[in-house]
Formats: sequence, C-alpha cells, structure tokens
Amino acid sequence: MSALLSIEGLSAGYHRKGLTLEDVTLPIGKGRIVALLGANGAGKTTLIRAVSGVIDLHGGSIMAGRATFDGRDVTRMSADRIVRLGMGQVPEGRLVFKTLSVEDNLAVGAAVLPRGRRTARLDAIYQLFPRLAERRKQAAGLMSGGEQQMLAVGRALASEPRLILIDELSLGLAPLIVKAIYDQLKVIVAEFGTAMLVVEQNARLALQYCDEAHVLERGRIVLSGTAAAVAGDPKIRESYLGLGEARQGDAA
Amino acid sequence: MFQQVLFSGMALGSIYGLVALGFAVIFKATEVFNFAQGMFVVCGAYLAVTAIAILDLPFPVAVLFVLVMAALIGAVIQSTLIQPLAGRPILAVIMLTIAISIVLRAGIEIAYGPPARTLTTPMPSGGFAFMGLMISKLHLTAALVSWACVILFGLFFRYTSIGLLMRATADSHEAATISGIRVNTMNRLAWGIGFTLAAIGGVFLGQLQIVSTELESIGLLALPAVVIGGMQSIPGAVLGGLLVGVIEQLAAAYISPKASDVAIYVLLLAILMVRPWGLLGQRGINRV
Repeated sequence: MSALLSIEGLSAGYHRKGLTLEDVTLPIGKGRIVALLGANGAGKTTLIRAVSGVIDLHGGSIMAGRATFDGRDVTRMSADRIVRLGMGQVPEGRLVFKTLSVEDNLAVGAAVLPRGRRTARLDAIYQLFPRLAERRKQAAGLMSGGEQQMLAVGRALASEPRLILIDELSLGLAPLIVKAIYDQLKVIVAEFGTAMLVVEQNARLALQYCDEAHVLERGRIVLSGTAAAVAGDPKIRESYLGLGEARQGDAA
Repeated sequence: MFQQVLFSGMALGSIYGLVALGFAVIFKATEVFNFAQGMFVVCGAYLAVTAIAILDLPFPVAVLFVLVMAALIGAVIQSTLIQPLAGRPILAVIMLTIAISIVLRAGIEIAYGPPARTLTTPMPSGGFAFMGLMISKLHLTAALVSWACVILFGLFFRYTSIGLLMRATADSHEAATISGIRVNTMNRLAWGIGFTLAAIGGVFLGQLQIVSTELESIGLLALPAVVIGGMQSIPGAVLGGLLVGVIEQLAAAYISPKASDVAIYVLLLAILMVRPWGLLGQRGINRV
C-alpha cells in the first residue's frame, strides 16, 4: 500500500480515437524497477504520458482513475509540477535540447534543485556516463543516438527524482549501447534508490533487469508478476520471447 | 554626405535592431509571428508620453514606468490571448496578432485623441561636429542605448540560469515541460521582454519623429529585419535591423524618400534568394 507511485483504474485516450488505456492498475515501490511490456500500440507510451501529465500536449486526456505519487494525487496535475515533485521522465524519442550543449542540457535538468546541490548531482551523472563528460561542450543534436539517450537519462536524473519513467529506451539503438545504458540504470537504482518504470517493447531485455513486470495488451494489463514469473508464463514465452512450443500456443 | 547618411542609417538601424530583437525573442520562444510588434513600438512611445507629459513623473521614474508597464502589458497579452491558442493552427495565432494591433491602435486613438503628440525628454539633443560629420546627440544616444539593451539581453540570455531555461524552452516546449520548467512562465517572460524592447525603440522613435499611431509602420520594419537576419537568430535580428536602417537612409538620400521601402524589400528578396534561411539563420541541426 505504501507504493511510491500507485496508478489505480486509469483510463485515458486521445480525442476521437476512443480509449487507448483502460482500467490500468499498477503500483511501483520505492527503489524498484518495474517493466511495462507490450507490443506497438498497446498503450505503453500513453500510460507514461498520462501519469506524467503531458498527455494533453498530445491531444489526449485522462478519462477515469487516479495516480498517486508519494501520497499526493497527481492526476491531471501540470507536467512541470509533477517533475518538481520528484518524478522524472525519459521520453519517447529522447527529446534532448538539440541546440544546447550537453552541459546545458544537464543544467536545465538540475535547475529544479536548490543551487547548492546542483554541482554534486551533475558530477555524479558525469561519473555514471563518462561519455557525457567527454562531450560536455558539444551540441546535443550533433551526438549519436546512444549518447543522446544517455543524456536524456542524465537530464531526468539531474533533478534528483525518486522515480523515473523511461519510454522505449532501446528504440533504434545498437544492442551493446542499450545494454550499457541498462547496466547503468541498475547502478542508479543501487546508488540513489531511484525507482523506475521502464516501458519496453523488447521483453527479453527488460525482464533481465526489472524486479516486476506488467504486460499491456490493447490498453489493458493482462499479466502482472515478478520478472521471473512473467518470464516463465507460457503465453509470454510464446508471443513476447519467441520461446514457446507450438502446442502450448493456445493454452491460455 | 555618404558618411553622414551612414551614421543616421546606423543609428536608426540600431533602434530597428532592438525592435527586431524583441520580435525574435517572441518568435523563438513561442513561434508566434507577431504582426503587433509595430504597435508595441507605438505603445512604448505613448507610455512615455503618459509618464512624462501627462503624469509629469521625474525622468528616472518615467523610464521605470515605461519599462515596467511594457513588460506587464506584454506578459498580460501572452497569458490572456496567446496562451489559450497554444497548439492551434499557426494562422489563427497570426490573425490574432493582427487583431491585437488593430485593437491597440484603436484604443490609443480613443484614449489619446487622433492628433500626434510631441515627446520631449531630458535626453541630450542638439548636435556636434565630429570629423566633418554632424552628429545628432539624440541619434547617438538612441544608438548607444539600443546597443546597451542588446548586449544586456545577450548576456542575460547566454549566461544566466533563467536565460538558459528560456533557451531550453525555445528549443522544445515538451522537453522543457518534462524537465520541470514552467513553460508558460517562460513564454510570458519572452513576451514581456519582446514588448519592452519594442517600447524602448518606441521611446526613441517618438522623440526622433512625432508620437502617433503612424509610428507603427516604422516599428514593422522589424519584420524584414528579422527575415533578413534569420528568423531564429538573435544576433541575426540585430544585424538585420542595422542593415534595414542603413539601406533605408541610403535609398532615401540617393534615390528618393519614397524609394526606401522598395530598397529594403529588394534587399530582402536578394538575400532570400541566396540564403532562404537568412543571414545568420540556421538550416536546422537535426540528426537521428
């Protein structure tokens, strides 16, 4: 019950397109990595947008249900305020500030902190991603996709969030870089106790790193459990991990 | 003769550059092509008339009055009129800025009456000879103050943390929002600054000419200036303003006063043919 973020019965959608998300309930505990799995169009990104308050920027809205972060109702709260409460975000498509330098990108992320805490925080981020330290002065828009992704994670982390929502981190990146970033996510959780909601299409990858997983299909959660339980589920093995035997295919 | 014309062109161009800078700040932050910028110049001149001739405030207080009121009006226009249209088609917003300028013009003519007013301030007037040139002190003051404002804004934009947040917001509203920036506050700030820079220009133009709503057409020279400089470029706006001023004065002196607008738009056309993104504009750095 003392979940850091608890999403209860959340339904959301975009105008004229009906519900994209239906009655989703999902708790995230302190310092936990929770994966949200699902195919393209299952509603994963919509969930992140709804919880983080940016859904209206995309012409959508929350129809029902609520999200409580650290005991406070954040349903329909403005997105920037939610960030200042301690919920960071690594958005779909990374959305780094392309015209700003790496340093400035991180400084913007840290701007919500009291002045005295900023430098230490940025130093910690440079230690996690030495690559960013090397590129300090470079315009973010000129960096590789992997570097931009590191920057997006670093920027989200700069505000000392207690929870980060991460949308499709692996999209369009080389497997080695994706693995390196995921490894650092583990380090972040261990070092800072930051909880994470990781939205991922690549179920095999996410299940290696998360503590719990939820599977979203057509806007509804169809399976929840520990990473091991979800990874062992025959239907998941079949349709998400490509491991199931043909005979078991229709068992569920 | 040439140097003389060049001097007045540069002086006027500095004011245009200041007004254009205000336009560019608004455009960069909110992507609104603000056709009311010319009217903002007029507002600045009338604010000065109000403070000096009507309220009879001491000069430093009058300056403060103009600056504070201008910033306030700009911010109010943003929050009551522009912000509700955020995300709407760009054409609707452009029409709205035209409407704003019409309403401001009518409001001013109703409140102050149609006759033009003169604006006299304790700023230096008269002139002095320098290396064979007749230097008007008011022109010189206008140029110096304009440049001081431009530099001050540049330092603010580049080196302060609020300036950084403004640059981040201009880069991407969504990215700024998810970084915890109050985007609406930043946009209000941009409109406040944009209006104030135009108003400062208006205070000088009102003294150099006469205060009436006809000053709008001079204020609107900011538009070719920013297009010449490159829509997204802050230094480009200042450079564009300077060029417009010089071309205007040269054309007026050597061809005919009627030729100055033509010359400005011929320059605009020529530059757009070679560099459609303007002198200092960027074609955009996009990767991945």
